[in-house]
Amino acid sequence: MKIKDIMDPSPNLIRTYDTFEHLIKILDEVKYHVVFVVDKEDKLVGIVTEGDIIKVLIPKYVNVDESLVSIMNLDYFERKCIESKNLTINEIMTKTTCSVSEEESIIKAAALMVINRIHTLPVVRNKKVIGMVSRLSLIKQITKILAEH
Amino acid sequence: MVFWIATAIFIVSYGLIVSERLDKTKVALIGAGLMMVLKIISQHEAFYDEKYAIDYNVIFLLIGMMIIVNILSKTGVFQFLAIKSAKLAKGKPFLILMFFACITAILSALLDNVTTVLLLVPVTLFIADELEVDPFPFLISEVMAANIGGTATLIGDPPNIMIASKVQLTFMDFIYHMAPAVFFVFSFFLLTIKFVFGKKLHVKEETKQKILAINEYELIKDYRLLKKSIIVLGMVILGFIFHGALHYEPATIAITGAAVLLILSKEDPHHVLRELEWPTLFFFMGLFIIVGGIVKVGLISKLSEGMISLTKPTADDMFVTAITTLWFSAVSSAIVDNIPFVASMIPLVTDTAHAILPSGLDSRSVIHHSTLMPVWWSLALGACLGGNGTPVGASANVITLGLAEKAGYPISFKKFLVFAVPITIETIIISNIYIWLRYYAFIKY
Repeated sequence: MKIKDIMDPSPNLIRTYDTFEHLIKILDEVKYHVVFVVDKEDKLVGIVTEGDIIKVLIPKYVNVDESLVSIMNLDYFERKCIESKNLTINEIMTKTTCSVSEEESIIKAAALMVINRIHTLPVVRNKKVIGMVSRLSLIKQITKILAEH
Repeated sequence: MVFWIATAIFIVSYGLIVSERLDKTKVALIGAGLMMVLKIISQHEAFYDEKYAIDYNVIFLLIGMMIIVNILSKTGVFQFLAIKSAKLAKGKPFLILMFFACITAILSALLDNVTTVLLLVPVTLFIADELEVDPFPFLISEVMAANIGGTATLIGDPPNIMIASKVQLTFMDFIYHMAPAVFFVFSFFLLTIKFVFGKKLHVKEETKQKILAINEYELIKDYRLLKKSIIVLGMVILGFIFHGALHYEPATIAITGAAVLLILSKEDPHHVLRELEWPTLFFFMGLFIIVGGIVKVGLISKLSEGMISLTKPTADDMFVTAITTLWFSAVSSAIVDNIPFVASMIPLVTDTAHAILPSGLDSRSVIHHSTLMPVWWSLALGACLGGNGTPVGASANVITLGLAEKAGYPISFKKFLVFAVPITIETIIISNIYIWLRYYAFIKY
């Protein structure tokens, strides 16, 4: 079975120069909380997940000294949300071009998800994103196969 | 032939350490290995000889202090002190900067400056973030304060540990001779940062209130461990103060304190020992053997002849030698790691003294000679304070810049130099005046 048989043909896309605020608006409207990042020529350059978004709000010095979390002010979350409004996607995203093509087998998508510990994969044609596959779509396919046998 | 081989090993090792093309610990160990394999220095001499061997007093003093600081750092007391002082400063950014500089200097003098900045830099970034101000003035002041503070005591900075061990100086010798110099240097340093940053750091009243709202007691992770660590550290410092009178080497005090704290803390020694800076310790061991080799073949004696013809010391007056040593050490330590520099300078100064001072004196009387003492203090001041000059001049600088970059506040080489070079020159000028006033102008040592 090929990727194109199970893919969702309407992926969530955002451009590198869009803002954090714009990203949050998009996420509010879509069903998957993953957005693929494309450049000016619509080519895949990265991904923004829920993890990337939350990471924006956490100061990096916490990675060096975790104990500082316990003394952060109550309004810190709110302040960082407002401060981050104009950050560009380029500053937030995880750079990756890990993807599958529509003609490939769905086992490749499954393997890439397990190996790279990701939940959603972009489907590309000539480096341009044309769809996406998720773990959920794979599970649905398993259900379908077992029901038929 | 042996002379030239040893000289080549020394020069190539030094060059590789300076160029940072190879890890410095690897370079030191390979250099040491070659010195022994090529029989320039025998293994027995490298391990046990009084003149050429690894200085285990330095190694075990470092190990002891590393263990104590490692356990103490697990209590959260460093972070607690930083937040407490920020609250005492009532959230005023410039006052916080001054308090942080003072805490860094004191902790660096009593513990080691690398651990001090390692633990204080994240809290500093937190405070700057809460105050919504640029962290640069805080970070650069702390690095400088760490190197200045470490200069004050025997245990504060590795060059002092090395000089103290070879010259058989006590903790109180350093307090008596180095601490006053550091007091003046640090006072002028604080005035300078007030002049440079004083007017730039202002925040709104409500922002200051955020600092006052922090509960610093949340940072203490283990009160019982803190109590035990402070008692042991207090005893160790008392031990250092009296080690001269009690005829104990500083390493004996440090390693015993470390052992007592390991037992009292119930920490797993495997875990604590794994976290020690073994690469630094092996770097020291390798260097001692390399320097032992060049001392044995007579390279250092030749260099000391050069020093004598350049600075023309006499048995009564080594003023020019002291001042030349101060400035030469400062410039060298800003460019090169100050540990190999001091390791080579100690035998150089010793040889110079042997050549100049009356021949009937025993070895201890020569290195302790009143004419020579200001040269040792100049070496210590120059080597420790010179480390402030460039981002690679001292370990504390490298660690702070690395942490700042990791936390998203990169400090460029140029930005560091613009502030660091004038401050370093200022601190060396003050040290120069101190050496002149204290040992030459009015009072004879």
